[in-house]
Amino acid sequence: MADFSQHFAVLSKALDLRTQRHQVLASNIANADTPGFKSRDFEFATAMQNAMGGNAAGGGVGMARTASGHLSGDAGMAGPGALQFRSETQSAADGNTVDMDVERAQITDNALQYQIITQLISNRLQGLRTAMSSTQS
Amino acid sequence: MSLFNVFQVSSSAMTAQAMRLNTVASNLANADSVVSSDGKPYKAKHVVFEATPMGNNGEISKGVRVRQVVEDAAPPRMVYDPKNPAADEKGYVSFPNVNVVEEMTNMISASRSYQTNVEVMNTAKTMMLRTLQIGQG
Repeated sequence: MADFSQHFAVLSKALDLRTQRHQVLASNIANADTPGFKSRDFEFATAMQNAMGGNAAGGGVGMARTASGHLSGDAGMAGPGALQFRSETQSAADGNTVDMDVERAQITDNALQYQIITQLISNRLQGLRTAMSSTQS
Repeated sequence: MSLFNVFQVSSSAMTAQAMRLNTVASNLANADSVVSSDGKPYKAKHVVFEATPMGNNGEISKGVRVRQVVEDAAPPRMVYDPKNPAADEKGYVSFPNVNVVEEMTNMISASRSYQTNVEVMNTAKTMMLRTLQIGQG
């Protein structure tokens, strides 16, 4: 049963990160005509690693808190992995780096991955249901 | 459910794009208005977009708002027409500085951006519906 809840923890964390990524991508598309706006994104794999193994496992170095007044070092990136700027392919005169094609491709990809995860959770539950119903007959 | 932020962000972008379409409409409508309310020829108006944090997610979700509406600084279009009552002593009439071609491209760009934001909203909706379907059937 521990294995089961662990599985769910991973999947729900993945859903969480996909949701956050959708927000970032939606902001990029919303600001496609805003002068000076820089397109942002985060790497899903790294964010997932950070979320599951803590920062130390992900290669980062955590800061020790030796007094109660200390701030936790990772307060700024509590949610997803750190937001990064997308490298621009064509520069625009107004300093905007949103490339609509890239963003749309990414948002479709993200939505599909999200659906895959929901399907995985459903399948997991279905398996549990089958296991329970097979004894009642 | 932070996916609701996507709705806020996308709808703010749609409002901003609709405002841009509004200025395009009034610019095109007044492309030949020699006299406007202040007695001078009409001046083309443009909206200035600005990224603004939206929802409770700080950097992750950024919507758009119209910071200001500026008047085009281009000089008026001078047309030689001595018979026109609005002509100056040399026979020139100053027409609005509306560039019709520019306005048309602006219109297409605004409507495309609007469409894309609607699609982003729809994607978010699909994702949420998939979440509701977890564990059903």
